[in-house]
Amino acid sequence: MSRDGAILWLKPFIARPIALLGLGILLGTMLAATFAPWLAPYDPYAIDPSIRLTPPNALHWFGTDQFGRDTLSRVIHSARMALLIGSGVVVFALATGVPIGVLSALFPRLGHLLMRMVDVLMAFPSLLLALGLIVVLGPSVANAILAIGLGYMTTTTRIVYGLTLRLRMETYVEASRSMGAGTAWLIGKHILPNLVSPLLVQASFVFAFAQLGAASLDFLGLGAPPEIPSWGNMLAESRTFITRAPWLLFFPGMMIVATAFSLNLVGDALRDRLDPRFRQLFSEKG
Amino acid sequence: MLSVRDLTVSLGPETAPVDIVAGVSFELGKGEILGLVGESGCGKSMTSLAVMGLLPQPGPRIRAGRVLLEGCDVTQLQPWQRVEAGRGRMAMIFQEPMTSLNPVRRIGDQIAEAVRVHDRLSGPPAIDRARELLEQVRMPDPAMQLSAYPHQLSGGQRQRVMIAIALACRPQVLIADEPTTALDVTIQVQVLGLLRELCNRLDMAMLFITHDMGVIAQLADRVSVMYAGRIVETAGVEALFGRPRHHYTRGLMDCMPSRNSGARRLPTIAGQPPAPGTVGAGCVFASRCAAVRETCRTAAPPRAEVSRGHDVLCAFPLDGGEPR
Amino acid sequence: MNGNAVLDIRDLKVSFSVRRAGRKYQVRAVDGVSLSLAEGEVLGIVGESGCGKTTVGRSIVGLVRPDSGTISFKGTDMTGASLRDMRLNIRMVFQDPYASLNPRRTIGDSVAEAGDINGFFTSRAGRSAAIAATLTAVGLDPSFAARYPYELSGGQRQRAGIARTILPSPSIVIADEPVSALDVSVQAQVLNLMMDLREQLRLSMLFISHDLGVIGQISNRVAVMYMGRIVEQAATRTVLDDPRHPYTRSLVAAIPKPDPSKRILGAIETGEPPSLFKRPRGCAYAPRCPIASDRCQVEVPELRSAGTDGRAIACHNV
Repeated sequence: MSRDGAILWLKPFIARPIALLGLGILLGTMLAATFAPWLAPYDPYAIDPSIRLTPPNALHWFGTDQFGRDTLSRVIHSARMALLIGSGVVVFALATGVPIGVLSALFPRLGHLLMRMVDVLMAFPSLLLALGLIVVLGPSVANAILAIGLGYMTTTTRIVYGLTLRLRMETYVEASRSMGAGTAWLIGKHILPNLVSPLLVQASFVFAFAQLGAASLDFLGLGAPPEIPSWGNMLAESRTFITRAPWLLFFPGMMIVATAFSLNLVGDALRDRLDPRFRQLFSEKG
Repeated sequence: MLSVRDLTVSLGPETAPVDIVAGVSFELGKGEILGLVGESGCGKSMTSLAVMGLLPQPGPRIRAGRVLLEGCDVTQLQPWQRVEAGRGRMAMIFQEPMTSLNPVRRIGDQIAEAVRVHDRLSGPPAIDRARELLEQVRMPDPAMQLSAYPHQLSGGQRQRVMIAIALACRPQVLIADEPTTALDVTIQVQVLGLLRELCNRLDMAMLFITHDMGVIAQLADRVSVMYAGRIVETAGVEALFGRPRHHYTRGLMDCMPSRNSGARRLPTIAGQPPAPGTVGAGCVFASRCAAVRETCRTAAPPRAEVSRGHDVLCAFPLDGGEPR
Repeated sequence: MNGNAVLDIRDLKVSFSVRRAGRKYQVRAVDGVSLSLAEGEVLGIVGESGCGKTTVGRSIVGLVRPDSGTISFKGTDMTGASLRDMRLNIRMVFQDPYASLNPRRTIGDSVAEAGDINGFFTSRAGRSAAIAATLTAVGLDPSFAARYPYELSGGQRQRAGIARTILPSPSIVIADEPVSALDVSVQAQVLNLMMDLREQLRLSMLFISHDLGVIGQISNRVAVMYMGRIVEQAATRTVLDDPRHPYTRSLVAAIPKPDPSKRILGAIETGEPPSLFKRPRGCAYAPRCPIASDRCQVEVPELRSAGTDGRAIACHNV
């Protein structure tokens, strides 16, 4: 990517400071996930009944839970689960959505069949769909990713289908066909590269909503196992202590909101970057 | 009727404006057709939008100059403000009738809408007037076509509808921005003939914008040639085609593959027009002019009147000695 | 079939199925077109929108499957077949310079695409050298190979499009309105370039356009199309100076000449072409024709030879 290209990517973030905030939160979360063992002041699993349910203080910035575990450490370690679920869902949605969408658009008869099947899936509210799958498959991290991912596969497929239909009609694709390009060449050289940008935006939104989906599943006890710290799990456990220890609810809840919020902001900024009007400032049209 | 003086339209911040139209002036008398001709990017469309009061907000703005309609300054007024002030008798038609017409409404309703705004009629009298306007624009089967949707009409018919809408306000000035560029040549000749006839019959002045010199020759009474946001030459149509005095005008005419040139290679104008904002001191055309001299690059050229009604923005205009 | 014709089209018919208001219609875009292109010749195909000229071009390069008819390249019938060597020998220049290049690929990659698809290049160095040479040949600096389309002007993009068409050098170039989207001064530059390349590379060209002025400049012969058929065909000067078919005459007369002393406005009232969905029986031009007779309403005129100068006309009354 040229230097101009790199600057272009940063411009929408600089233009709207709140997007920088979003980027900051996102980077912070990723740092937390990567360096959790070093960043967390305490062992997230360490139990100390003597200090159970203490409010935020100098020693424990986020307070402690009913087992005396440090909330801050648990919040930091939960970032790992958040990123794991988020990336897993995005990868699953793209890996299934892109092939189905592209092939449906390029082969109309197959496409009609596949898109009707996708329509059926889309008829279910995504959380219900996820719940149904978990009940059948059993709760685990992998199944959570699959269950949530299936819901987002449908929207990804739809987007890719629409984009590919339009791309198929582009003059440069016709030019390529007139030179003897086969379907594989068209997909590899023309369709996929032009899908990257919109999919990047889509990925950021999916990542954000996957957090909420995961948190919901964890909250219901159907996602990550309860021993592993995750924001959803922490929310679930905090139910019993809402009145006595509101900090147990506040901090994980705030992290869920912040992560989803920041991803939305980053997604918005990326979408601005890709807005054709934005690019027109750099192009010369008669 | 319409007087534009030193119109300057700019983009960008107040401190460092980029002029896309610079110091454009012209006059338009009753019943007269002025052709504004230039290539893409020369600022002719922006000029027409500025005159009409339709500059997209936010974005380009009139930085200097005045637009006078029948002596009244309407420069900063948007169209609805002009109508309120009783100065709304200027209408505009565009190049693509398919995007100017609402695809989900019948054309009769769309014409009636214009009638409602200007004549304060509604209901059946408005529809009647709409049909009358369709007759004026020589639409075949006007009563039937009132209930047609835009996609049911051909390109030429849609353009007639657009002209009908424009006529609803009984305009004193009609601005036509490339109205026939998207039409086939045999349809174009009909629409141009219609426009000429309407100007004659209704004593309507028309500012006709195009890049096609042939159309200008067929239609206009006077012509202004635009380049890089400036008018470089203005003359009566015969004078312009017979003895062009600006080097750009001459170059433009020479490189047309007209029917009668059998030459092996077409003469061209080397280079490209300057991007707005990159124009330095001196003549805008200096970098491409075949007859450029040193002073052209440093000193802004004067606007010289080379003969009655014929002026050129050039320090060393062609002597006009070779009639074509 | 013409002996030294490098491209020969016989009775080409192409139709499309179109959906309107819920029903499917078959629209005949090309209704029996025959023409042949001699080696080194530029044949212009002129007509207004809907006449089928673009469809003819697209059928030749395989973008559209004809219903019937044959297309032969140097004597070999290639209709329906997608032979790879044909792809390299017959290439197309597209109209819109802003749409014909992939915005996400470099100019160099776009220019070399035909070679890349068909395995023409043997080494990276060879490929780069070929790209550089081709860009130079079309008047672009070789450094443009690393640039992206948004950095180029319309005229430059069209040059890049032409570069893509000549690497590797083909036998035939189908030019589909290559200068229609360009300004007049840029048009002249690009037309000159095409004429130069035609000479240097010994190309044969099929030049499709709606602009008779441009066709007049570049072609040796012209075929005039209306509603899917050829109505007149002759040497360019003949068609422009002495058009015989009524449609050709109105077409030539309607061209706005840049000469204020020759005004034609209002003198021509020719109506509009009928919809492709409702083809008239008989001659397609009859509803607008000033010399139409009863026979014209029922019998489609065939393209037949008229005179010794290679002229052909499809009209009952001329």
